[in-house]
Amino acid sequence: MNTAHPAPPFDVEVAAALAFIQPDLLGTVTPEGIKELRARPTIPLEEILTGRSIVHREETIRGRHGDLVLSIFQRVDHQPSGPGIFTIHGGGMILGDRFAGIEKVLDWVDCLDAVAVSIEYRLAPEYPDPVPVEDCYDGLLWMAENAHQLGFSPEALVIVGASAGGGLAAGAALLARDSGSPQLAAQMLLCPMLDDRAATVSSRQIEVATWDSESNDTGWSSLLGDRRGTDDVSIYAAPARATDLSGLPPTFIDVGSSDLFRDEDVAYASTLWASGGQCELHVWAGGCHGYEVHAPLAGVSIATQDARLSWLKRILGL
Amino acid sequence: MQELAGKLRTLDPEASETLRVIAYFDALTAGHASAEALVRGASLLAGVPAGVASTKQTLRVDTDGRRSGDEGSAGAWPSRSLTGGGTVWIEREGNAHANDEMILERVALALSILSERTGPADSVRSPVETLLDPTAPNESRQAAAQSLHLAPTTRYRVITQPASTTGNAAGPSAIITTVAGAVRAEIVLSTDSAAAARAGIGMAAAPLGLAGSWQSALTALRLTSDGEPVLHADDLGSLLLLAEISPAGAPDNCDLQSLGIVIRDSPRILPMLDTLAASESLRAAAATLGFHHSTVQSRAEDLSAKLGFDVRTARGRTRLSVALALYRLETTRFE
Repeated sequence: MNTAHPAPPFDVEVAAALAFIQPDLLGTVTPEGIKELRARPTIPLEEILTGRSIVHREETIRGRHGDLVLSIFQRVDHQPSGPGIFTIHGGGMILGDRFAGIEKVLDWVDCLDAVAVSIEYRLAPEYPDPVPVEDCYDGLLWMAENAHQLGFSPEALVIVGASAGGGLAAGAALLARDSGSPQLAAQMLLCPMLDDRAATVSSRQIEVATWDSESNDTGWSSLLGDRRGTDDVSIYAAPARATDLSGLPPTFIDVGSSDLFRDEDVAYASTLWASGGQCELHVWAGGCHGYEVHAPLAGVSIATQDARLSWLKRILGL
Repeated sequence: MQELAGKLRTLDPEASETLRVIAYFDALTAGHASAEALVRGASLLAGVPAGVASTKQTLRVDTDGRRSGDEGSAGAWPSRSLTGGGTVWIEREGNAHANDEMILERVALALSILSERTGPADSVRSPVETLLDPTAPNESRQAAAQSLHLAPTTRYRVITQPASTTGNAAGPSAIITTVAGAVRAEIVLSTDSAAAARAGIGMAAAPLGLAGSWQSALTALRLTSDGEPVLHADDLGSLLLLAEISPAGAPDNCDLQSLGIVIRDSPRILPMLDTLAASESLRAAAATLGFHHSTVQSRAEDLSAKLGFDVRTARGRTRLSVALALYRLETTRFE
């Protein structure tokens, strides 16, 4: 597709942060580059938890594709009957672990006294679709069934995911809808990766070193192989394929105007509304993919986090 | 895929990150960031609250990036003065961290530049910026010239200096972000003499031709060196054309690569290269440098081998001159 216009400009603080972290940026992810990127050091969990009154423990459960490791976070002074948050990490379906990007969720554990469960789902290309989304659904089901033991209210179960995790969260929520359980109070899809077809303007308009169209091709092709872009892709793998989004819980979607996922995320919100659903959509001016992670103290990132928390409180009646 | 790819956070207390600090504030300045965004930048890089107090604004930002209710004051905190008046500070307790000085210097410069601008990028620009912008419509430039009281038939010049140069501009001036960093452009009468430590003097032009004078002055400034700190565009002739090509995009055989390696390996060779390029003979070069002829002879032989052309020939000297000019265009940055 020819793009007649350049991408919208970055927010000035986001642009400055990108200039600063330039040497660390992911660059274009190719199938050959996956192994090296997976070997990159990550922030140790102890460092993430430093200064927080949060305890962490692990649980290994049995899923249909094999054992699954879950990390469970709660406040030291946790009181039962608050919200439960099932979170799915990002990484283009091919990268990352259950601690990637967990900070924003830990903020909610802190201020809402929520119990958070983060899942170590199996990654493509070693485990192509439907393994990742079914791993996530199996973990979600386990969390719902163990609400009492985990210490949260089963009526306040929220599924959250960012980027590929947002796509998997949307897919798992569709699986929950179509199989009748579990009941979700809300889904939060943060710059979600929803559409394998790369047919929108933004999917070709935006070339930024935080997640570009070639990286996106790598992610989807790893997940779907030859099925990518064909009729043989389920709505659970690529939720943008769904034409009927009725019966889903209240939804929050946010995305930056300079994110290649912009148009598919806006379209998902539109389909939710067309299906009679409730959705709050935020498109943040000048945000690239992952801007609030790369530039956490930029004005636009602070506003983004405030909007997410505000919505969670409203939707959960807190 | 966000989380693996780094994020902007408080700098290591001990490791110097000068280039990244400069890149951060340069990008904010280029994007016409607000005073709050600049102070927030200082706060987040330093990891402590930061504030600014001037006649235009007083604000303080906390370590969570939010504007605090308490405006605070510079007090005894590490601080810097702004050129337009006012102070910026960071609230470091205990010993200074490795980057504190640089953060303060860059945020002070960025705030000083901001206070010279009359408004955000696309709403109100200073008339000097408009007049020097070759893409601005003719009518806008005419209006800008009028508001600066420039006579249509009088000839002026643009003088460029690094933005960090202190001293009062005699004529109308603006700080403009360029490929070579922040540069002060000043408009003077073509007959005025220029006294500056480091400057590029543009070609004379009527007000509506000053965009061209600015371009030539900027190129001249980028070509200055310690040996020739002030250059007149009038004296540069076709060397001015070199600024129109991108050295980074130039072909591999343009001598820039081999020159870059020579300079990287021995940075103090630059005066000798300049002298070799400018001298009619090795004997004349030796006299200028105060070296023995045989020393210069053997250095010239050695350099010729490394550069891939013979600097002892007329063509070699020309190639060396052009490569040196390209090198300066590529590397000169005014921080």
